[in-house]
Amino acid sequence: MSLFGAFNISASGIDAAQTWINTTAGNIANANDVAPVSGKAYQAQTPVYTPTTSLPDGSGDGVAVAGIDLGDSTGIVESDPTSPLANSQGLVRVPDVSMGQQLVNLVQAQNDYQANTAALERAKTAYQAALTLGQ
Amino acid sequence: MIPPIAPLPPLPATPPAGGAAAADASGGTFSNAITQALDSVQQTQTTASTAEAQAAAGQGSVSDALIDATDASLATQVTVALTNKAVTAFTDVMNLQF
Repeated sequence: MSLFGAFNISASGIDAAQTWINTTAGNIANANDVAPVSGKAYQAQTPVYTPTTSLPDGSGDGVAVAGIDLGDSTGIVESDPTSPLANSQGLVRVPDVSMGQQLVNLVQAQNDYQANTAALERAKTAYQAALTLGQ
Repeated sequence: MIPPIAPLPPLPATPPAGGAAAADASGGTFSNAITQALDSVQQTQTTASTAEAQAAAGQGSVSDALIDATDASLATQVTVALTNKAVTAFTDVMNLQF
């Protein structure tokens, strides 16, 4: 751990929140995707977080994105005869992405990001307070 | 056939008492400490510069660059504060009145 350990921990949290924002933005961007019934619908992406413990005493030193969890590829089969991807019955496969859920995730990811930034800011203030000792 | 055993290397000469050994035992000089601290600060600033260049080029994250810059800034402040304290102590000793 470096001299200012809290910085690295908060940095990992900010990176994790950034990943969440990015995957949520991707889900929203692909919410209107259309796939043929024979293919796979867009799979909603959710990051999976895991703590990192590289310190000898086992205490945590941040968070890491262990992977991206992919949602259901079945999606929803709906009728859209005008789509060029529709089959002979006029059916297409659309992703099962709830726009409301994604927007809630976005708010949570933003709060996550800002919370990590606030923690970093407080740590910086505390470190600077140590510099004024003895003055 | 058993290979012959190589002779033992000669023992290193024992260092003389006092002299260089005494200087090492004192734990380094003030200039060494300052030099090491400044090298460490220089490294944090190099890290910050690299992160900023990567962020500007769109290859790194902006948050990482800003955090590295804050890290370098605080490291510099710590080094300056400690150096000032040490110089103050030295000046106090120099101003001893008998």
